[in-house]
Amino acid sequence: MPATSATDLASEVRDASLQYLWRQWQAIGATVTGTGQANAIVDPEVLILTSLWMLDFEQRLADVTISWVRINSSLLSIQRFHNLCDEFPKVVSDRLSSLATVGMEEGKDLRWKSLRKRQVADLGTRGNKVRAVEVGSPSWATLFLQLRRGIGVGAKADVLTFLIGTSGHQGDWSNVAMIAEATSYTPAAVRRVADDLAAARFIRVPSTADSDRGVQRMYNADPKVWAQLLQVGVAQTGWGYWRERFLFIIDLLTWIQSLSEREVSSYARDVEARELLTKHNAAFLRDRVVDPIDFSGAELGMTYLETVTRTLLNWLTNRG
Amino acid sequence: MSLEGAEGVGRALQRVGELLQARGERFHIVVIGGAAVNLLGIVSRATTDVDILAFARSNASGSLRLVPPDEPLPQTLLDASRTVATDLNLDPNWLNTGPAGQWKSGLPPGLETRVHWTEYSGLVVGLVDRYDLIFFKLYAAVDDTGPKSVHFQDLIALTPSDEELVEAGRWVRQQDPSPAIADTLTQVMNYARDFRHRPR
Repeated sequence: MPATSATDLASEVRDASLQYLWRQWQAIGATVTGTGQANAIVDPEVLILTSLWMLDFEQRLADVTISWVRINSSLLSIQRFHNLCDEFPKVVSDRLSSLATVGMEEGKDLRWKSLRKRQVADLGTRGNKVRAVEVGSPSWATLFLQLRRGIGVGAKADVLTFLIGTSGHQGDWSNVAMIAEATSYTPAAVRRVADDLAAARFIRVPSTADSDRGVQRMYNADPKVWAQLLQVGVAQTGWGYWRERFLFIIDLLTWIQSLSEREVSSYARDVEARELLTKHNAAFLRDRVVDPIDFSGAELGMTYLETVTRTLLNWLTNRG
Repeated sequence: MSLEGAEGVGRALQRVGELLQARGERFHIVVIGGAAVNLLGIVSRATTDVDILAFARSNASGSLRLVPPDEPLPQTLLDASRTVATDLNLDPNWLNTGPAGQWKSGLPPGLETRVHWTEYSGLVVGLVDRYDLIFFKLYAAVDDTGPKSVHFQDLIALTPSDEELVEAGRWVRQQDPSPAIADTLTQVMNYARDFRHRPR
């Protein structure tokens, strides 16, 4: 792919991602003008970490993030910030440290203390204008936050959110490893809370002999029942897998930027594109954004990276 | 799968070099064996691997100094070689430090001054000279199965002169002074002389 083509792709990815971030912020209470609505469940920690990374492209994200944290800090999981932060570029943890100061001093939430570092990055905010309100009425987009508000911030609410968001109409089951990977809690913590939730009949376990012996513990939640209880439409469920998708986008944009700073042959570009695709395959394969059979049979290289990235952007815009 | 002639060896090394360059890395390696005889144009045959005899590092004055290769290979070099192995369907250890043990018993005198350098992007490859290859190939042929061995065939292809064979024989004796080797060495050297004088 020529340099101009890579630059074009980066520009498309950046624009579509920013547009989608605004949608998510709008869905959870930020007073911003977005185009379209966020359908899938918003992962608040991933949204904040991604927004902090995207500040280099869109400074207004800092204003919205800070304003939202001032009001809704109590709905955030500091434990998940810790668990997720290392997966993001280092600049994000520096900026998160600045946000921790806001959370402590303005949000009056002392839990942020553990995220504060001695040296903090300047988020470059513009004044104290209020740009967010409390998280509003229940919708699929706000499910994460609503369940935390109802059950309490912690693994229990998050595991339940994941299971409601992934069980779908087919009644798909998830095991501990899948839930732990998606929610960024440890398998031990997930197993403990999932068993509690199952015992309380919040979620289901299969009634097979294997399950009774605990060989492979699987769980799901009935989305219809939960939709009725929470008074949200049943059609728009979806976990979203934002951690996987936004980490791919961050790596992709970082990588494309690096192409202009290094001497990279077309072979090396193809190899690096393949490595990106392999490392981030979940960004495409979850929810079958890209058909797994097509993916496994494709020649993974620059051309395919371009193709599936545009497919992902299309999914973000129309279904995400 | 194997590397087909100089073109095959060169393509694989070029790919490794491009991956290293993209990662901002640069290595100097010195190779012997089948890869070297192919790249020097002495033979054109398939080979399964590229044997690294040495790494080269710049000293204070900026000139290159040969040193024993790092074992295991540095991670970036290893990663690049494994990636190329996958892409070209090669043995995962096609780029290896098999001959590194030669440093313990000694290299042919003056080898370092006769290395021919070729740049493959981030991989700079030194080929030991034909003269030194005679030493290594004679030693390998003595250790091998007979006149049909690939090492003996390579030795013949190197067309050593009588003087070169004598020098190489003296060096091989230093490597392994056992009486059994001495007999085989004499046989191999005689074969090589006879072969050279045979009508083609």
